[in-house]
Amino acid sequence: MLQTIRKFVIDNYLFGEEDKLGNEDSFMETGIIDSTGILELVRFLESTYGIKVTDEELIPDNLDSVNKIVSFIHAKQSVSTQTDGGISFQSAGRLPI
Amino acid sequence: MNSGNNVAHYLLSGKDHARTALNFLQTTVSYGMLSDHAGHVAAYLLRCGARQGDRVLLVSDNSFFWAACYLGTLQAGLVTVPISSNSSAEDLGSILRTTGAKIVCVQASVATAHSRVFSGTHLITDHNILPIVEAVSQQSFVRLHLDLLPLPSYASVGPNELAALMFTSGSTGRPHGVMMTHSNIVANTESIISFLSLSAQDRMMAILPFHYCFGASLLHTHLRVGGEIVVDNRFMYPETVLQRMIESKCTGFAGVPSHFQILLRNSSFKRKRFPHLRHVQQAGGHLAPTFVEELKQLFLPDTKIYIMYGQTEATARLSYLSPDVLETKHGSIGKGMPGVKLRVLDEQGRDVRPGEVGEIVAEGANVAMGYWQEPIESAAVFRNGSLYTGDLARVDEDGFIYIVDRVKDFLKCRGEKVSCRQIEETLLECDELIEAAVVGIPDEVLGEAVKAFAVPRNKNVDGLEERVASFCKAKLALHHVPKQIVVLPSLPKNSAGKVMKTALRI
Repeated sequence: MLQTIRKFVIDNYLFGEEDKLGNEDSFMETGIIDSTGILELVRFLESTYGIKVTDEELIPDNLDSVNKIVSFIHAKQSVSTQTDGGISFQSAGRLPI
Repeated sequence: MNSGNNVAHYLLSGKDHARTALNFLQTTVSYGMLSDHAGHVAAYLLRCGARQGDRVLLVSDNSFFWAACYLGTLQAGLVTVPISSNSSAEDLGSILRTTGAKIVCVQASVATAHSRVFSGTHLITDHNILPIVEAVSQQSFVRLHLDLLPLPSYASVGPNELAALMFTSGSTGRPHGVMMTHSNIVANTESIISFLSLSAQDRMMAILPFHYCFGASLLHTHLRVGGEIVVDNRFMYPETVLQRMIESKCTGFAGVPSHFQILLRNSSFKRKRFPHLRHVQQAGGHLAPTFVEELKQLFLPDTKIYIMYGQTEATARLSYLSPDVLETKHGSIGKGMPGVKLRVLDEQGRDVRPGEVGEIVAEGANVAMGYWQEPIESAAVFRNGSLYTGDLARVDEDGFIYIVDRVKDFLKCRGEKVSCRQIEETLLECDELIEAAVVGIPDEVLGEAVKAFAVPRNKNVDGLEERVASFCKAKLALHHVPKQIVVLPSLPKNSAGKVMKTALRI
């Protein structure tokens, strides 16, 4: 999963320059991705991993680096295999800003 | 010549030093602190040997560093050249050459990434970095106050003295450096403050980059009235911005069309409440009627919606539609703002009659002096003190102006001029789309045919081209229906969020 996400980001936003992306690098601070680019990335994650990212989940804690995305998707997938439906993800309402 | 004409003096003098001017994620900056640091920058620039009128490049995201360098440059009587931190090394080099700037205020990440470009310049960086090879000198902003006292006065400037070279967005062509004077900025700031009735109680959410004239105008207007600017560079995560708007009790929000489109279609904007929001400003291009309707439903009657029109060539803004007539003058950009005379002229230079189409021409103290070192382009656009905007419009019986399109944004289809914008508006009525852009392609039968770029709202893109085509067939004349539909994940945009049609025409 990590390699797939890395490849998507490198191919689409870094013109294939692999050494420019660390797995902890913040997309926002490095300016790699902009406001429409992040929507494009979300669409890729949704179609590749069969998840649905809600508007409220579109926040840096979930999506702002390769490693954060991997953790987020793992968490989403583990919830989707459960049926209690009571688990929520980090969302903007609880961000310490 | 007097220091009262200096924009930095106009924005900073007489303020309560303890009051918050800039509100960042981790910290706030008071008016006293901002004046002090601007004074340090001014003193340092003069120590580097800069003389009145010299250009100083400013390359940074919105930050305390940006604001202090901008104001310090103006305070010293120098000319600020703000550009995007996303600029390529090639663009940076080109702007350095054409402006002749020998001093650069640059955020550390850009200085490090493009270090070669900055050889032969004096550098001020936002924080300490390793020495840049062949820089004439290098100083860190955070250390300026240790080395020298702030400049205690503001440089005297004449009314037509250059304050800034602001580069146009380049959304329909090559960027030009617009020559703005101190009096241009003061005039435009006064106009905007008056029609928005801004006061020291106002707190503006600034997501627009300050290097873009619309973003700079937010800074100018709110500093002038002693208000507060909440700076947030995280619009790529709109939820964080919305949450901060609520928590910071913002009274104002400003954006270009793509911001509102993302907020309305890809965020919880519609489900949130903004009890302190007094007004919303939309400028920087045309927001399709379907989105304006959604904004009205969301905000009226408690929050006023200002639809505005402007150009960098006019410092920032030229007209606004009074919220009182938003319902009755739907789709209009309003009338000239205070101090601005807007006319719509035919090819013979006569005012058009109601319903006829002509070019918008502006007069006012905010009209800039021309383009930097581009006499031919300047002569075509700035004529006898008037600005020929290149925007085509019609006027109604009450004098309200309705933009039809950019001169350059028409197709010639079956010999008939077709506005790209009209087709884009229709495309955006399709619920599945978040963005759309139209350009012309050569066509043996029609002369030019429509090529549409469509950005889907969600991942369901299977068969989208066919659905969009059917939608268009039901809504448009046959020859206006796109011959080609390209589904894109997003439209190419510049750092201010404006769609770059030049990139789509390639």
